[in-house]
Amino acid sequence: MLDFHRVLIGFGVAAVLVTALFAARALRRHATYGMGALAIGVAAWGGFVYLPKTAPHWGQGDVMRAYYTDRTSEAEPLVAYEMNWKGESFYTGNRMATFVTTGAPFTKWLHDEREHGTKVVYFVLEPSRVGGLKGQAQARAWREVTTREQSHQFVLVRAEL
Amino acid sequence: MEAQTKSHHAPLWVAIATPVILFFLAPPLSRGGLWDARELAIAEAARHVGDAVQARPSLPTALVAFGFRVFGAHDWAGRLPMAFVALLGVLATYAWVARLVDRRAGAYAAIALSTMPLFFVQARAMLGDGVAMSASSAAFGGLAVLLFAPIRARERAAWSAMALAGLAAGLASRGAILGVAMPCLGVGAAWGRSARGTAFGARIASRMGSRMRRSRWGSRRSPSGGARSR
Repeated sequence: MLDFHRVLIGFGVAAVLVTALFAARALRRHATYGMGALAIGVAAWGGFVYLPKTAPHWGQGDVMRAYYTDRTSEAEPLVAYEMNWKGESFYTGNRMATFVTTGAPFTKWLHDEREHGTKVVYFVLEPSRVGGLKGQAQARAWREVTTREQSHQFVLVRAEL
Repeated sequence: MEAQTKSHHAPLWVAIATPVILFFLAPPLSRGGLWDARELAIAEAARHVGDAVQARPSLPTALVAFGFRVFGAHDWAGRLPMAFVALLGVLATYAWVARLVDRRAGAYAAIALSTMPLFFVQARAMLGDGVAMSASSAAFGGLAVLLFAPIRARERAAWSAMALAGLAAGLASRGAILGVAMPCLGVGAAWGRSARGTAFGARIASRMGSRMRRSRWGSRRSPSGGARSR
């Protein structure tokens, strides 16, 4: 999924070769320019490739954007299920229900939502906890909105109550 | 003449353009969400700046809070002050290396710092150590120029201001040991090994030695019990 080892080895080998050029007095000027270009290249790769590719897996920005894209109205609330990170609060402006631990408060909240006529609820959670959520929520239908390729740390699930 | 001026300023433009492009534009700071929970810990702390819980925030936290207050609670708004301070750190590094060595060396130092992965990530993220690193460079460089370069009185004021600003920012970022003691001891140790430093140390040691001798002999008591005057 995230595999950068070939690129990193390539940069490492290039750095070794350019450093070796410094040994030859006649090539030092070229080695200096080469090292400068390589350093800028590594940083640009970090900014354009490495950080954008890793960010969705270690942050909730994309998962939260998926929620706002997928929901049809504000009547479809978001729930942070067994989450104690911080991205869920930041990206929603704290407009969500948070359950750090599961149990009676969560089942009561779900019961109340059903009573109020809520049809669809979105859950953001860690992928390993989807099974436990399904057992507790007893929803009629489930759909994982985000895939493991999009984020392996967080998943957005749509549940029809 | 014009071409000469252009080449004269070329290293400075390299030192400005490299961090501006890498820290702000390539790609924009908004690309890529916040690192959960490391960046969000400082964002959360920034949210409480001004409350009783965060009455005296660290400098990075205060800067993130400033970004949120001015631009709103966006990921790029918190990162922007970090990138700006990192840019100042690169420019400070260019300035003192250019002053101690030459402009070309300053440009290379700016490229090296801007592309160093640890500094680069700190500059583009709401983590806070980029502020301490920039402050450390400003303090170290300001003190180094004051001690090692032949400078005029007007120049002295500017380098003193840079050193003091770096020390103050370092103290407010990561405390007295990392922010103040480290740059002071680093420059002090280098100066102590230099010819001027060695001569200064010898003068101090000689004065202290003679003062100690005077005080020991001055208070030596005579066999009769009274203080023996010399």
